[in-house]
Amino acid sequence: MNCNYCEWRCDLTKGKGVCGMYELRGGDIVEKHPNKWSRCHGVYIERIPIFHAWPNKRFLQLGCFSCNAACAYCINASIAIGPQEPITFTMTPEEIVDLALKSNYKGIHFGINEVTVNLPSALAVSKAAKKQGLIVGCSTNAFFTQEVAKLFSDIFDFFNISLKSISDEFYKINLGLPSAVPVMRNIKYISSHAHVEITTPVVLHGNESELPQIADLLHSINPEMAWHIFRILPKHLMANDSPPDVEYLSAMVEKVKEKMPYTYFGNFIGSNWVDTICPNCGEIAIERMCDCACGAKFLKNNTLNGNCSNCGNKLPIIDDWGNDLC
Amino acid sequence: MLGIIDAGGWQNVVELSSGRQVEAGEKEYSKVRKLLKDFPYPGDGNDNSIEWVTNAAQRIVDFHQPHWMLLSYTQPLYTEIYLPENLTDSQNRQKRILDNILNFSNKNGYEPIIVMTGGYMPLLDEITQPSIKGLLESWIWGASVAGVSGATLEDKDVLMAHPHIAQVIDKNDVIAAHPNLHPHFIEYFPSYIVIAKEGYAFRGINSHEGKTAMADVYSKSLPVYSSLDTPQHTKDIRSIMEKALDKGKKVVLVVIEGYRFGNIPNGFTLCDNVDDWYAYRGMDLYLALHTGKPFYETEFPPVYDRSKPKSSKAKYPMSGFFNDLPEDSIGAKEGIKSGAVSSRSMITHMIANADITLECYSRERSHMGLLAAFKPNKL
Ligand code: SF4
Repeated sequence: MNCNYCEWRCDLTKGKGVCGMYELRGGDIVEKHPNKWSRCHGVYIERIPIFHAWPNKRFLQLGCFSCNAACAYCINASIAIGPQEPITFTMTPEEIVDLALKSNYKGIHFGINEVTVNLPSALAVSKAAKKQGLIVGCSTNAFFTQEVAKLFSDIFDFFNISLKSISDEFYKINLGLPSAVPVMRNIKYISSHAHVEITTPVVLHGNESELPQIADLLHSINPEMAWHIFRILPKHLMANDSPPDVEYLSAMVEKVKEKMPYTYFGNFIGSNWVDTICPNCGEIAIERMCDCACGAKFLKNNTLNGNCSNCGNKLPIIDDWGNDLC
Repeated sequence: MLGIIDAGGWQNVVELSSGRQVEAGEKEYSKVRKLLKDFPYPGDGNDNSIEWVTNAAQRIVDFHQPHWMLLSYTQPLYTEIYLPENLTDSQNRQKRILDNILNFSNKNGYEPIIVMTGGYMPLLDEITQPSIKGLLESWIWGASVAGVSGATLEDKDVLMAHPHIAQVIDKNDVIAAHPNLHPHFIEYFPSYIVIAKEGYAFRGINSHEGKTAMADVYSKSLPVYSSLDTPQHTKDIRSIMEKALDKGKKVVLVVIEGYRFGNIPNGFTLCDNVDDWYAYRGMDLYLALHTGKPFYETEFPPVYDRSKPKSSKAKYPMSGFFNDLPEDSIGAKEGIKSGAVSSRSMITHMIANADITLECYSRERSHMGLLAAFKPNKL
């Protein structure tokens, strides 16, 4: 019997599957660790990073462990890859939603590890959260099946999808995944149903030459999409490799910005490329700063309810614009 | 205060209070730029980071001649906490650091005051989430202290009955004992602070790393060496340094993080490190050393309730919980020149509030670059 959550489509009669998180019980595929979470803490949405939705709002970030990929440079290997199983805590969907409401979070974000490997628990939390009016989103490698893409886009309001390359070769060698095709397919599908931002981690002499082609692809899907190019500080199997040179990558970023105006360049301290700039007049619309790896910190919103304060251009940013209390 | 950030050789000048870039030519602040360029950080787990601290401090002495300096060495903590290391290796590292300090002090005429933090002992067991409604949170490595947020009254009984928990501190008792606590301190103090018995470490839901080899000990006294007066309490160190500076002496405050518990080098004596129930550690210890203030007079609770919304800060967005530079820090003393070098990330430039501070910029042992924070009018 095959698991149809991700494109590995593991035959669980033959073993534990690539992620090791599901098993067969009474003819059903079930989660081995339902309602178990390794992380449960507040995070500002810019940290995820999501820059074009609910600026400066806090979300309850949940994560479990394991992954269906095995990125050679994984920055979160102790959770995603092991070898130790991290400590987890059991929290029911109701307890989590209660915590989110009590702490006045805007919603819930599934991050830390790949949400597809804890899918039933994540969906249960999401359903309970939506009932209470919370926003729900996830960070994902999007190597899931079309069925799951539909399931996710029906329930999640936002996605940060990691598109690491458009080459199968790169996916095979560096991520242990057989192909980039399902990821690109899912980005196209989900973008027409929910808010999507893309993250492309760049490793030294790895995938930076692909940035123009990735820009072409994203432009064909939505030219106003936020695209986060990450300078990766490699860990795990590539821990001894240097991160890419900032100057070298920033020149490439400036080039792809001609095609994708909302391209950001971060994941390193002090980046000057995480502000949202109005493409019409060049005014800084939202100020942010990079104070550590991953995402950024919100500093100031200069827009008038999402319109450029200088030229009035409508920026592609979702928010309640001050009509809520979060 | 300005900061020059160095991420792998790429440098950016920022105004630290706003976090925004400042236009500056390549030739401006050349001494600071060169300091960053010449001293790339070897890494948290690399013993060459010991000499990184000392050699960078020497460079600052050469171009600024500070009367007061802070040198902080964190290699023992980062190295020992995960690797079960034999005592000889640990002692050799300690000796290497002490030799560095001695040479530095002798060469430059500084009176050293050395504080060792920790200590660490082999981990007996971890305390994870007891059967309580509240959430046990501990973010640091091998922690003997944790917070419990969102807890109920019944949780207190469960925590108190736990065989490996030595003490449960109730937020209400702390508020009652100190009527003038800062509102921020009260706001972010968790329902309970729990303290482990010796050899046990908390690992809560949001602990960032795996199981450690060592547990930190809740140290009510710390080994201190002073070539000046002998402090009775770690808080006294501030006034001892001030007195010496007023007499025209030069002083170097040294913090060595993570000594092996019970392994006190020759010449060191144990110094009181506790007020009420709280044994100073981490940021609070640095603050006490620099300001002489007890923990309950600061804005910062010893453990944060991280379930509380953190207000997005208007000032010093790169500087952790700080909203302002502590003007009462010894590093900002009138009429002296000051400098600091630290392999502890982020808090040093704020707490030392020195004319120039060089610190590595690391999070969870991931090395992201360097920050040199400086006051341009002082250099
Ligand atoms: S989710 Fe896990 S078990 Fe299912 S197909 Fe993917 S890797 Fe295999």
